[in-house]
Amino acid sequence: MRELFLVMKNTVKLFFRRKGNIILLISGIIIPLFFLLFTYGGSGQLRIGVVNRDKSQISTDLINSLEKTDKFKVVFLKENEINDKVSKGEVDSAIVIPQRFEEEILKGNPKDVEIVSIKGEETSLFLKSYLDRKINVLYNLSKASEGNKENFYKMYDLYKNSPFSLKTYIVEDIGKMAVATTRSLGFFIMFLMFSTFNISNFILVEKRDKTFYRIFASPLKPRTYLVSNFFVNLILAVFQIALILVLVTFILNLRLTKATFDVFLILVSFGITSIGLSSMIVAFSPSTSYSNTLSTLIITPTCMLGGAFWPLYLMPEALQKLSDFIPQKWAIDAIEKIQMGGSLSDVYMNIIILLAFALTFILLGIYKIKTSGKMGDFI
Amino acid sequence: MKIVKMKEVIKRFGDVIALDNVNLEIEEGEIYGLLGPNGAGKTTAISIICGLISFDRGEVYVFDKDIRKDAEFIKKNIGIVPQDVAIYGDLTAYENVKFFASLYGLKGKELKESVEMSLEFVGLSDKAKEVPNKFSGGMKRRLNIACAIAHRPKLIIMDEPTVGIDPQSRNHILESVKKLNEMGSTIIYTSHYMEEVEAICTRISIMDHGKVIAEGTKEELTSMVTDVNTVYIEIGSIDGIKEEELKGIKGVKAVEIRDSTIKITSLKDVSNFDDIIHYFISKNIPIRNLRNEIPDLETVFLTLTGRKLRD
Repeated sequence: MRELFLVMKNTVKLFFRRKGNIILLISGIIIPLFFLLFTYGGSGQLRIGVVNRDKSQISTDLINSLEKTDKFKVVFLKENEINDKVSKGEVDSAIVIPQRFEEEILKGNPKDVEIVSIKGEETSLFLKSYLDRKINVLYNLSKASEGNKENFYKMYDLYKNSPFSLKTYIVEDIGKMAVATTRSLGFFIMFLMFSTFNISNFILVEKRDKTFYRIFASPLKPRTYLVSNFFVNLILAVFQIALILVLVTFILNLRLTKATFDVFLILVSFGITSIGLSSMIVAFSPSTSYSNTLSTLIITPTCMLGGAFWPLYLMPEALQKLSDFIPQKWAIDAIEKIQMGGSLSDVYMNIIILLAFALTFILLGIYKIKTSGKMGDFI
Repeated sequence: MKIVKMKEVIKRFGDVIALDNVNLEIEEGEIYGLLGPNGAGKTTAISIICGLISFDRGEVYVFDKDIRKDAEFIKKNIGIVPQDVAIYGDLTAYENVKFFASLYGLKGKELKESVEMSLEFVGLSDKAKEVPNKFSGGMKRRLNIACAIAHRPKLIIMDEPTVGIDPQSRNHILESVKKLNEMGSTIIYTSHYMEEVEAICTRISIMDHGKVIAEGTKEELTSMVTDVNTVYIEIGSIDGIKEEELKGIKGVKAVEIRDSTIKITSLKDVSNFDDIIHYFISKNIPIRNLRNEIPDLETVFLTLTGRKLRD
């Protein structure tokens, strides 16, 4: 135990003595936050262009509810203005409420509200999640009223006047976080991977600098050394994850909620997967130059494929299928679920998958070290 | 006590035989030299003694204990100075020594004192708070030694500790090897510089191609390749010198006269210096210069392998 702490302490010391490590650590926090600030800084209100082809009670209510959230500023547009205003950035997104919107809801097959946006997924994702929830409620009311118009409106009035406000508030909080953070956490995930690799790679750096040789000439067990590297890696990863979540919460002026904690758990699970992957890369690499190349070749493309930089559905279907084999996908998917209002019970499968990835990577690494002979021959 | 005993050890790396039936016995208190060209198997041999790599056949005992069974005890009592400088460039000299010493179980006051002593010993006390990245090659080599001795090992293994450094640092290191030995540590010293091995080692093994090709004290090794002693005498004029008379001196086997230099080869175990010098004095011939040629380890290696050490 004493040896474990000795080596951990030494690894932490080495980490903070090398400027490059600190720069990587800080940029892993700063760059995603800058991204967040530049993309969503300012008032925080999204300007939504609205074309209402329905002009019914429900569609008017829907538009009013958008305004009431304080998160949207509604701008009414003419049909032919949509593309122009959106492309000029005069509105962040535009929605088109289709004709017979109310009618179809009453019939029990609600029509989708069309969203026009060029700012990318972020704005429309939030908007879409908001509208989906609203329409879903209407759909459920319609189903409950079994197509009876009178019953529907009774229930609808009850719904409008019910003390739902608190819940909507939380949903909107989370919704805002979803808009703002998914992409920046995607970037963070990439940095986290480079950061964990960096620490696993200490093993190969020690091998290169021959201190590895000296360590194994001492009575220290190779296992103790490897475990200490893992723990230091985990501690630093948890530190980075906690720091970025606190900063994101602070910047977006949100409260630390259970959702934040859920995202923390997901990111920590991903952190463990990432440490497993880096350990495996190191176990399979004969030198630092080899491992550096290998890590770059693995981390960046898998972040792309796993949806860390852009939404998965923008990619061809074959690639989307491929992403099932990429841990990043499961982390981002889980984060999105939580941000859409889901809870841990909705993402436990994602977490299990992440930990299964971690276990596989670690076992492959151990297998490689074992089959390459004694740890000594690894020198 | 035998500090190290290797019996018929074989070590292969793939198709390459790094150690081919190696036998070594090192007594307590020796400075034992392992001499041989690069790739001879010296580093492999000491890596096995340190328990760093396994071997394919044979037996290895260190401190009378089986390396395969008591590796932890053995490692605890060995200090290794690796061929390549093995220190953290970003930690201070003090932190380096402290970390490695603490891996051997030293702690508290004992640890602090040992670290300070080691740095003092290698002459780096005033650099204790500086990082080795700013050190010269020689200073790094000295720190490399400090890291190996803080836990006061019974056996110190030095693998080419003087490669690529200035003569001053080299002398400092050679002196410290002797001092460490006087302080009670047995030393294994590998080198391909035969002058160093000749200067400090009490016993020497010459290795080549994974085999020990000769073993013994320096005198024993040189007598293996020659049983004669050669003296070169330079005089002003060779007038009056008779080859036959010189050959008549006891022990003299051959006389060769070239220009003003006379080469006299005698049997090694006959002491005839007095007689030879007396011959010249009695003839009133002044001796300008006198040189006794003793075969060195280079000659031994050349004779045994047909190659030079640093080929």
